[in-house]
Amino acid sequence: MTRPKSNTSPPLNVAGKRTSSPFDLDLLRGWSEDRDPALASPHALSALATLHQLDANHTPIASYPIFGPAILLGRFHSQHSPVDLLLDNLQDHQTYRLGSPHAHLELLPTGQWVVQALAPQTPTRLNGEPIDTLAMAREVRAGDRLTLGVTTFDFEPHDITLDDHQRQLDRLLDSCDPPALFLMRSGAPSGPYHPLDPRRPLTLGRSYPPAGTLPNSQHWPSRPDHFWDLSGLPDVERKFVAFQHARLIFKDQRWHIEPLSTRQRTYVNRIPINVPTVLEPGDELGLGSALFHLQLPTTRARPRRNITPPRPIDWSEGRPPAEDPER
Amino acid sequence: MSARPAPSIVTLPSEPDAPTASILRGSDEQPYLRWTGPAEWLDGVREAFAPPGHPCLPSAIDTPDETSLDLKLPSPNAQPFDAWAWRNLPDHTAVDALLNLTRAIQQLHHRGWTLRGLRTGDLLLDASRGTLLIAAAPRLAPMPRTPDNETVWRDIRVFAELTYENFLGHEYPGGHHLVTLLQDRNALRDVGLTHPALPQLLAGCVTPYGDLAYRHTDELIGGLTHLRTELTRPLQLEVASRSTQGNYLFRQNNQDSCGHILLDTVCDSQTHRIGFFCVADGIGGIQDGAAASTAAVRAACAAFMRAWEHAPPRDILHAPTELARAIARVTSQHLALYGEFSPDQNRGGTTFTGLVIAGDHAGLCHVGDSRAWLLRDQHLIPLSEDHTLANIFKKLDHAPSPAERDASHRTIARFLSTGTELDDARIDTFRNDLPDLLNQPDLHAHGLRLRDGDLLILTTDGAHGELSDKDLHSLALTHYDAPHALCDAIVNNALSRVGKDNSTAMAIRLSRRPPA
Repeated sequence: MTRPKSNTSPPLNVAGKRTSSPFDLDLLRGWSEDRDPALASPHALSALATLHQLDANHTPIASYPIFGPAILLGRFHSQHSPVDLLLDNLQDHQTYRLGSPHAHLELLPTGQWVVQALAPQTPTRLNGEPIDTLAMAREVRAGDRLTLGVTTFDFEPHDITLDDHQRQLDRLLDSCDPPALFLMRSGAPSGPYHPLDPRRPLTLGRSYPPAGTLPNSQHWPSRPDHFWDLSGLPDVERKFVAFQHARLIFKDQRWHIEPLSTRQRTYVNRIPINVPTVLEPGDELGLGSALFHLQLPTTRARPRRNITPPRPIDWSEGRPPAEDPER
Repeated sequence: MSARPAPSIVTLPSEPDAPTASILRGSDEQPYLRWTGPAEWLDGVREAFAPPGHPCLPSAIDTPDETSLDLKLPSPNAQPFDAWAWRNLPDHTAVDALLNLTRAIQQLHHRGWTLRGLRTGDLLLDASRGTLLIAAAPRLAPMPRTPDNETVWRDIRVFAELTYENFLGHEYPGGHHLVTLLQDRNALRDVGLTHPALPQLLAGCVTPYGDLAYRHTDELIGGLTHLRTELTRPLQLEVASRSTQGNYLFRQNNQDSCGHILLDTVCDSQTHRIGFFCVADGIGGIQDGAAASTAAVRAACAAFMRAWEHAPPRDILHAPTELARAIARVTSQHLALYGEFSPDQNRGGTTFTGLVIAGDHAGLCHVGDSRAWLLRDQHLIPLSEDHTLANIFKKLDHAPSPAERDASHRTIARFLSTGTELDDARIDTFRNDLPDLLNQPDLHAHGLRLRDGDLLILTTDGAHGELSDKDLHSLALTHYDAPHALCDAIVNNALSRVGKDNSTAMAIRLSRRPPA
């Protein structure tokens, strides 16, 4: 695990509320977790905009910086595709009314931000006015109030152009020797990366105890030699990462990803996969809700500028999509 | 100051030609102290009693003329020392007061001053708050550069008298007599000086000579701390639990699990009563739910034992809620590990409500629709909030259709799953309105402060789902001092109604035994 040295400030919690527990979880577990603090470090790029979550009295209680020019936001649900920005500091009833994904935010080359509602069963409002799902994108300006479900956010764009953003991104991606796998957060590679070695397959997962540590665990697999331990990710990102999630293999001159977990999904360009799948330069891998960017030496690949939002399935009719003659 | 002479409340006893102290009533009706004496003595007082001082010391505020000084009284309700009131003060309150007084004297010593003899007549007693204050220092003098045996002893010899009178309830026989008493074990027994750590303290204060004499206020604090430890009466816990499969025809096994661990240790004279109590209601298929709840209870109890083994007792006593949350996190990860690596038998999930009782405080972790209750002052207070769809609907002001309503009570919004580990933010603790309800603002930071007579109840939905809150309340009131009978009553109620779910109840009764 390596990361550029540009960012040395201590890790920041998005919610920023809970103080750390005096209890060492490793002692309570009986085995230790290898939490890499770099995985929870602040984003290496400058934010393009920020969503400030407001409470009932319109007081900001949390902020979600946006680092990508085109992002999906909402909550993660494994049956839908991963989203770039997870709105995680919400209460249960607010999450219940949040789509997966809920909306698409995009910074146009003209410098305008636009929003498109994607959730069919839950409302999206711009300054109190409802937006139709999948209707034309609407412009969002500084200070606009965006209501996703029942939660209101204050939108604040920052003074940074797309070109500046692209330069920062290029610098970050050039700081490594490709091939490498970059962690993405809020729409762009955030700094931490793991170099890829064509001779050795890389397994992605989280710390787990050696066989025999816990009762009836004698048959558990041993930890692979070449392993990127993602235990250090913030709770909300790591909860959908399996202990042995996926393996990256270089075969027939191409990189492949092989999903290992039956519980947690693996996505390539937001499409769930079940079998080893070949990867293209610049592909985006999803391990549960955590996203990764594959940087290969063959081309000067960049993260995909545009994400095609998945076509939302409206279950409100109570009819499975297969019976719908339109589809 | 106004020219009008301030009305005097009381003058403290003093010797002829010595500085005097009296309590006067100020213009704002608040009492204050006026000390009168020679100018060089007053200069010393101004330095020794300069604010900010210890809360048991008055602080100099004003100089009305050259021979007197006004001082602020730290406690307006303090009365001149009254031996009767002091003897009737509870032991532990008296020892706490003496500990504070020692720290005040220690501060004077650190500032380079000695009282050259402290007498009961120089003290004020606030019996309601249990505090002793120094209200006169007529012999105040600089601490000699090389203090002899008697310098410290003069200031602390009064502690022998105070402790003796409070513990034995009769008049102090005097230092010479006490020294004789202390040298004779039979005499100690006859007088009744048998309280642990008490003769040692008396021996330290009564004379400046010999190996046992206290040479420094730190030693006095040590002696008083030992005495305080001996007086601490930990809460006694009486625990009962019952869990049944139930009598519903299609309910083939018991998916509920519960467990508790109670640890009593006495190490270094410190008695620690620490306990962990949990209920888990398994969900999923027939075998899976039972496996998940069993795994959760076993993993949680094991985590609690590891915490007890590794964490300093101070951490557990000060942050029981953090410990409970940590246990829930570790348990959640344990389930996720088995779900991934041994998926054949581990596909379900479970609710989890765990209670940590450490000393006088309780911490809670809570996920799902099992419940924790507190019976206090005849009120039954729910400590946890159900994580159900019905509660989400309530917060959304959504009026569900009849079919939706039925399902929404059974649908749980959070649980420990073998599929996905629960993140920290989704492990709940006490309800948010509880600090106001129980009038304890630091409840979320330090845990629920427990009282003598509290009754804690943990139930799964099979038990409380068959009972209205009112019925559970009346059952708890009926059996408030018999946890076994209460658990039986709650479970039997579910059985008598042929409830569809397994039912589990656990009750913990807290009491503080009076000193022997």
